[in-house]
Amino acid sequence: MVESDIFLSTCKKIIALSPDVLYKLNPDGVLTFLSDSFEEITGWKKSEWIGRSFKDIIEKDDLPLALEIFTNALQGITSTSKHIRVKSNKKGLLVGDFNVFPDIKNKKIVGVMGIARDITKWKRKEELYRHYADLIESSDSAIYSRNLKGTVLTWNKAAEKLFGYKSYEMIGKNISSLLPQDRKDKVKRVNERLKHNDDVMDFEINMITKSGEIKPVTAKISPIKDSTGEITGAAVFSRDNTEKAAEERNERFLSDATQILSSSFNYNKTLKTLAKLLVPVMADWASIHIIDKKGKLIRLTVAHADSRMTRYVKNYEKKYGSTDNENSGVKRVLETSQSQLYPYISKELIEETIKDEKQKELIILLKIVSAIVVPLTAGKKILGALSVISSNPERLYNKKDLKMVEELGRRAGQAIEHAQLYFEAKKELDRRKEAEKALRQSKEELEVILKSIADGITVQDATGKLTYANDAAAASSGYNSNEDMLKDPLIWSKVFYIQNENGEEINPSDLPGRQAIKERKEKQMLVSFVNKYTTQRRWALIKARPILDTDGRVKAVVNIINDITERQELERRKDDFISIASHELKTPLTSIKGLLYLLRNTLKDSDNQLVILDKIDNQLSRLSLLVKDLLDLSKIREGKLTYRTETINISSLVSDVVSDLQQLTRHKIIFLNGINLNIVGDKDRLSQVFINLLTNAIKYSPNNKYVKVMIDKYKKDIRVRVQDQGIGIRRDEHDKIFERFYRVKDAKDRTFPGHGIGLYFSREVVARHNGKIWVESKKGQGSTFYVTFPIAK
Amino acid sequence: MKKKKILIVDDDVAILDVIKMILEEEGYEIRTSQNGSIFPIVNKLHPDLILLDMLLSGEDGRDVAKKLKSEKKTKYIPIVMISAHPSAEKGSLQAGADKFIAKPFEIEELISVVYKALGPAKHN
Repeated sequence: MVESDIFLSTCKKIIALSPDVLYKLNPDGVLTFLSDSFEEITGWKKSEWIGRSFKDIIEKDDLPLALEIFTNALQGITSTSKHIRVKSNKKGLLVGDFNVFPDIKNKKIVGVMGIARDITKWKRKEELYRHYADLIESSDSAIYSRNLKGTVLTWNKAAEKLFGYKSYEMIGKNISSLLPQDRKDKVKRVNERLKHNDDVMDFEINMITKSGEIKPVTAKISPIKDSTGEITGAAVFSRDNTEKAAEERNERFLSDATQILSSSFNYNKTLKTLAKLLVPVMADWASIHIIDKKGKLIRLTVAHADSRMTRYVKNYEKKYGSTDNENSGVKRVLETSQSQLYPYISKELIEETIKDEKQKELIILLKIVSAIVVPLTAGKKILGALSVISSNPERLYNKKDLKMVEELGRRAGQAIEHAQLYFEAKKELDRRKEAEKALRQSKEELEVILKSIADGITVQDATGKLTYANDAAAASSGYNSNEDMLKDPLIWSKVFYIQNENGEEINPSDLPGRQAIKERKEKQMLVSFVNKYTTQRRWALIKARPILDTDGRVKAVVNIINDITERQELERRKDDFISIASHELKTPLTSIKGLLYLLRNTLKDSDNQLVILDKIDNQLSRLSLLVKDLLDLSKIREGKLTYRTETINISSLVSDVVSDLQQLTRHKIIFLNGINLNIVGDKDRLSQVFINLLTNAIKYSPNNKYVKVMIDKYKKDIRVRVQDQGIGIRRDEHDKIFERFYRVKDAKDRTFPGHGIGLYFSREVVARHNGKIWVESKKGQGSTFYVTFPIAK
Repeated sequence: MKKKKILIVDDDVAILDVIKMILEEEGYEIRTSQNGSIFPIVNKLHPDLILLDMLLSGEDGRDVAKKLKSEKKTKYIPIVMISAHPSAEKGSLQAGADKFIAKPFEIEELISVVYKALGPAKHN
């Protein structure tokens, strides 16, 4: 083989193996040669195209370019054309780069030959890239990419807008240059994370723009991997977070404020802290006014970011912040209950609205640029106003700020309200505690008194159950202690017989405690307790007083058990003495009478001594009467007064008494009788009753000319009234006059002659006839004694 | 004519004297006793009337009356019982007394009672 042959065969091998297509065209443009790779790339058979014009395989749009290159080559010009599209037997067109040069044989151009490279894949990738790049470029989100060190690789338009840096300024710079000084290490931490895992990271972070503004942004960091799957950097999507951050800041602020407000009920202090909190975060100047208890508006606090300005602020508020000033926001808020927003207070606006030159000056000095005034509210109540003022043209308040401050006003108002409620509640609580303490004290004192009191005291509830007994009550009932008594309150009734005043046995339910519950009024009873085993008798006066609640229902009843055994014994001895004495008096009385009789017989009718004897006789009669009264009394006390029972016409009985007495008195006795009815009873005893009543009426009306007796029917009873116009009886004596030995005194504290027995006797007699006797009288206005009897059937 | 004889029994000397004087003035013959042991006197004297106080020291006039009324010789003698207790009338009459006078009595009442029981002071 010659050397040239070896070269040629090597060339042929290279051509066959080349991924590029080698081709040859004759001067007419007919394909005369195609290398093997043609078939693989286009999907056609070589035989299908050898002998055909190249024009058929070129995409129509690219044909002019292809013809131009072809023609040039025929004229000896070599050229390269990129991106010519060629038809294929596969899906779609192929893209090729073509090298075209003349085919020279023997210094003559015999055709065209060249190499075509399939760049379809590359072309597609490039298009996709372009598409993404456009997308990224036109995105609203700031998108940039960075490598593992944080160096910026791409920087889209939105990023330019958000951060102020152009892409050419940023590409190649480290992203950390946009972070505040204290946050620069954040980039390092992100770098570290990118190295170790491919999670998407979300951040909210403050970045510094080209203008130096702090910009809150969100950053979503997605790792970028190369074709081998290794992370080479990250795409960062960033959005302006200013609004959300502001909202969060407001929320945080509100939360801080709320914490402050609820930290103490001393709202003076908390509101001052609140004002300080507002400055300088939310405002350059904040003030709080509250309405005090008298309804007067007072400024509670002022805070200014620049403490030197506080003086001016105070001066301003003193003059123009009050309710006197037309332009006062506080005034408007209090009047309308509406919050006020002054988004931008321009110099023009000031010129327009403020007439007062000095106020204008101050406003300009204080740089009031934007302001919010809101009411401090609790429900519908307005408790004051909160003013928030900005001196910074960059910080103009908007509706969102207004909402926030309004919320703050509500919370502050609530805090004030809560504090006031708290103080009121505390006051009430203190008062109650004090009262409770006093009550406890008085209860303890009472306990001591009740313990040391000699009277037995018991308390029953509305059902009659024993709820309290003092020591004396327990001791007199045979208990060792009052606890024992409360434990088993009925033992005593098994040990004792209970008897009433007349010695008749009664049940515990007949005692005044139960009666007081039943009748809802004070009851009193004299009872004796007889020990069943020792037969020892104790006397007790039991007073039961019901305790009524506000509705008049019985809550409890207090029993005061006064052991009157000794007194009763004394009474008995007194009664015995009266009885014996009066009996013993009778014999000497009789003797004296006899002696007088004898003496009288020795005298003649004309003797002057007879007058003396008459007077002795009179006195003797009085003495006899007293003895008789005393004996009656004794009999009543002993229950030995005997009664006859006969039918009596009450009118004729009283009439007889009136006639008898009329003969003995200068008073006129007026007798008015409206009935003709009978009662059953003892004529003599009843006569004595009316004699007593009439003689009393006469006796106690010394300056009057008449007394009146009236008989009529009243309801189901016969009623006898004995009326005088005399000295009268005080109300507190109305019951006492019916007790024995009680005597009414006149205005000069003098008693009237009498034994204090008549009314006692009368009451006893009337009671024994199932009647009632009482008096209605006022001191100095006469008395009317009422006696009623049931009518005999 | 013989005077009618009255025995007065009362432990109170004063009243005994007074009654004695009054009735002597009326013309009766009077004997007195301060206690209830009067049977020897009664048997010896045969009084026409006995005025007997019910309450004697240590004795009960009613027992005395019962005894007098249970004896044959004395049961015909009228007894007037005197007492400071008006309520004693019933018991007195049950014990056999013919009449009862309550202290303090009017002198006229006493004389009248004695007169009703005995008639004129002297036997006919």
